[in-house]
Amino acid sequence: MRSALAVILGGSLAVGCTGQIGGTPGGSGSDNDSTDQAFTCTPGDPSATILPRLSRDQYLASLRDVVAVTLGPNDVDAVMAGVDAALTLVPADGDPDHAKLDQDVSQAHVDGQYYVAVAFAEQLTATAEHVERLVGPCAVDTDTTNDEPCLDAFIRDVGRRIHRRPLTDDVVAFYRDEVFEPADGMEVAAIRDVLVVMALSPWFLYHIENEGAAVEGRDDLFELSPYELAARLSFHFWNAPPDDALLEAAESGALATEEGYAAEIDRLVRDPRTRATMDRFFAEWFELDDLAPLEVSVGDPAFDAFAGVDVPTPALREHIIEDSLDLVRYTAWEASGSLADVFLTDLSFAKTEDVASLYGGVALWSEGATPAPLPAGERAGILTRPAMLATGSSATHPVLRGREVRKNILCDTIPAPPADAMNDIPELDPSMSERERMEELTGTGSCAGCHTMMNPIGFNLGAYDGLGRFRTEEPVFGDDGSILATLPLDTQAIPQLTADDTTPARDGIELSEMVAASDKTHGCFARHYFRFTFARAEDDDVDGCTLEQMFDSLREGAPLAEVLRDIALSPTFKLRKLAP
Amino acid sequence: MTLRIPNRRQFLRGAAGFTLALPFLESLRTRSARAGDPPYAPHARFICMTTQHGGVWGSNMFPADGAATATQTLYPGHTMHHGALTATTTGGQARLSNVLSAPEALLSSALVSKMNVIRGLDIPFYIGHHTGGDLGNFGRNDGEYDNPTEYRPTIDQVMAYSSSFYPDVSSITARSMHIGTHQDHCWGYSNPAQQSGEIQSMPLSQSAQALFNQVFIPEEEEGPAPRPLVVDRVIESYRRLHDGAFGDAARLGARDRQRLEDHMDRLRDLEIRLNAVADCSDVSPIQGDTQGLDVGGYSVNLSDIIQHYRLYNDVIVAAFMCGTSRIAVINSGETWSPDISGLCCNWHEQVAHMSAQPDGVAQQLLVEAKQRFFENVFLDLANKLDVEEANGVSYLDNSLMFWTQESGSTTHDPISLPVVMAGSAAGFFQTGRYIDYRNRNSTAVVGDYMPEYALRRPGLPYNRWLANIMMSMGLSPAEFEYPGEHGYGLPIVDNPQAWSSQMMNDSSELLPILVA
Repeated sequence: MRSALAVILGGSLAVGCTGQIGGTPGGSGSDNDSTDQAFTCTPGDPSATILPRLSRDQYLASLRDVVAVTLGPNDVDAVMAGVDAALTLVPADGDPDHAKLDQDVSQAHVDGQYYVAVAFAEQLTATAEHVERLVGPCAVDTDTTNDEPCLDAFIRDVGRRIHRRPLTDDVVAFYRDEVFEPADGMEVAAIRDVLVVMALSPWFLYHIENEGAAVEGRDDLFELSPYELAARLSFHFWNAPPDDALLEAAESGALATEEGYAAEIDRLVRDPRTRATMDRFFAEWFELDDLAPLEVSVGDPAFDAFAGVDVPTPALREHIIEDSLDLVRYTAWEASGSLADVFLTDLSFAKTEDVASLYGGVALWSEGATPAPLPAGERAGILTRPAMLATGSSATHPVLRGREVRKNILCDTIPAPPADAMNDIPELDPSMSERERMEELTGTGSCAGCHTMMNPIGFNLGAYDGLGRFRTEEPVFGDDGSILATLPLDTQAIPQLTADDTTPARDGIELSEMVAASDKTHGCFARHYFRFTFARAEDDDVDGCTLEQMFDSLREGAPLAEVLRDIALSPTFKLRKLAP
Repeated sequence: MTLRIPNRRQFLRGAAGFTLALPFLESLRTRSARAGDPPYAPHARFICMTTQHGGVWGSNMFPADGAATATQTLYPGHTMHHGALTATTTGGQARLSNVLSAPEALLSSALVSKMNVIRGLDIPFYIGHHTGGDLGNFGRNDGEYDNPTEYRPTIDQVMAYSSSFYPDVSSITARSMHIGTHQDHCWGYSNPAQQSGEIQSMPLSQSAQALFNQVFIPEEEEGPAPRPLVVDRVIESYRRLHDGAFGDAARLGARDRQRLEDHMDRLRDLEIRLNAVADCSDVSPIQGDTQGLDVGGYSVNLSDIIQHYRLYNDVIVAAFMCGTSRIAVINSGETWSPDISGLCCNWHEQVAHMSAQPDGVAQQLLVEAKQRFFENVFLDLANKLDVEEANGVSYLDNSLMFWTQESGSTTHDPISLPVVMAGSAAGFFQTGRYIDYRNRNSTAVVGDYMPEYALRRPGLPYNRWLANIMMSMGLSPAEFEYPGEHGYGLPIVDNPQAWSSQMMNDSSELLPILVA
């Protein structure tokens, strides 16, 4: 068998690589090797939107919210457990960039949502006590004279949460006269039918924005109504429907005032739900969910010799992902740090012994405590943490590491490899270093066009082994676990973050410093966060102001929390434009 | 008012079994034949299985050339070969090729007589990686070399919404079943009823138990009639929003309204299926579920992978027996290589993309992997379906199931996508044949890059195979052909010497030998 280190080139070899940098899926982003990612703000309308649907996460949060506000928070898990089987029929959001970009509505969605609605209605009304809490005592007493107001009140109260707005009289009449009736008094089957229709209604499954006033007589541009604005804010920050306070701010008119709006945004940003949303964003941006299992090679002599005491378990993967998310959480929310700080911090967030061991046996950290620095001179920021580095093998895969930084952090485009890229690999001396191998295989000829974009970044990160441990030399293992050679590390390379930048980086720390300072990083964050929160690809021409606002704030080192808040303060956030 | 909570049965129909325990029967049983039944079912069933990459050398995938010695001239200078499909048996192991081998109990001579192995069906342009090309969405490729990227529905979705395939949907609860661990394989319109809108991927089932609940209709129990289903009122809520009765319609754009219309059509389809009437009395619930099993591209847990697909095979059998679905697509994203630790766990680079290396090491791993799929998924389902449905004809006889791979004998290569099929599609296809459509004398696609490239020979366009599948399922070419085209799939040809314009024009013609 070919040596294990020979050819970790996957998805990355290419002939005819144009060096394309930037660009957006579906957008009009940069398409060349520009030196920055500046956006151009041309004040005008927001982008048109086409009836967005709730993401799966938003759908789940909305179901849970209904339970919490009707039966109570303590019943949420039990009710949702009764819905779990049906939820398996609702497809996961499938976009590989950010889940919410998947706006498909398939038959499987509609079918699955139906079965969920039916199970959900049954769970909400499973007992008389549930019905009493859901509808009120009037539903279970023996007085038939109160049935009509009882029903109306139920429809209006629950409907307000499910529709995320007060129901008009017409809509109340629809639920009462056409869905509930004919019924034998407060018949539970009829109550369930109302819940099923509500949970399948367009107001629950889509972001309906059809109540606002036209802007200056336009027929394609509208202000959001207070309730629509409340929903947009809550889904933006929490990925969840508006709570009582937000709905009341909409009802009272407070949300329509500048002060009231800003106050609500501050409250939303401070809420832990915003942190959870940002966890999801960073996990998607850094593709943490795509981290391969680390324990697959356990048992292989070469890998076992390489791993030593750090034998990976299935839990290690989750622990190092949590380690990276803790870095982001602490930086953004505890330290009021900037995006640059995410790439620079040397603080340790190892909460478990296995992670601490990867960091060389550092002391454990617990949430709420002040983190201690990692050993000096070893790491800086997220790029040098195990979740961004681990490969599950003794190899470091510099090409893949470089590709991920290029693609995810810098928003560069790397073409797919040609068909025959992997088919004629020469045998290499097994005692060569990984860098020497990569340079031999890809450093010249047609391969070099693209690999000069990837390999150097991977070489800069060469001081971290396949489990993300810091090292000062490179042991080369034979198939039987014996050490064939111990080689010096050479981590200096020119990462060329922009086409005309020939500044070398000595190691992962200097690379991180360059990435932290790069406008491309700021621009890439802005693009990704835009896609994540607005559930659509950005259009540089139309969305330039929002992107520029974020970009400028990031470039100035504004705290991340402030950057996120400012998006909701932009004028276009409160508008909706119809698609032609 | 005194509260009345409905009994669980009253709610069952709407819940599709999600809130109720299902009746347990002892086993999957054979339906009895009915006097006067035709020998075959009036409408055939369709199953497609696909696995990633391909890259299995022809000498490992197919029977030897000597197994197909009969000839027929297809075009001037293009002679095809065919012969009886026969397994050799050694030590209880039956073998058609290195990949197509299994214990004789699974790969019996009786089953072999119901199979075909077909060589020489080519996607006639360099498609590279694709997800859905083998079902006709050639545009879903990796875009290299200016490949066309126009999406089209895959044939499973063309059939699922064809009135020729489903002339009567009164028993259908799932027009098509999508199974597997590799997303984005089947593609259909966002509004399939109107055949309009975006072409989007069909989501995969997340749970065999949930899919079973969808295709299994329990027997009605005695009791008061439940309230009618409410789907019509759900549709009504969409209609009123759409038309402006619930809010100002002017606040919705044309594309917003289109999205609401698409949703209403989906609801109408659901409503029909919720009212489906079928006889599942011969079907027992599946045992266990796929949730929690260790499957997917990273999994090396072979027992979990096998259990996953066998459970879904049970669901397919149940759906066919109930008559609640007639289409299933399985797309396995697993490597089927349980021990790759010695490769340093990078199967994609070190096995799939090394398949053409002449040392044969990666090739051997591929052969073993594909053989596992053949034995544990393909043959498992073929044997489960090969029980009598009526008049001595089995569910398998009334079906077409076929397995193909993303690529031919080298990764990315669309030459000779292997087709291993079982069942005659209710008598449409002849079976028991090894059919080789290649022009063995043509050097039009020979390459000198690696040894396997030198062995490539052009055959017939895969477009024609797709057309033949749909014709076997009752569709006429007029239903699936695009204007000015024949067969199915983008009619792109990057080597006219290999695939002539006459060949492309014939792509809606029946395939010789395969069809009597």
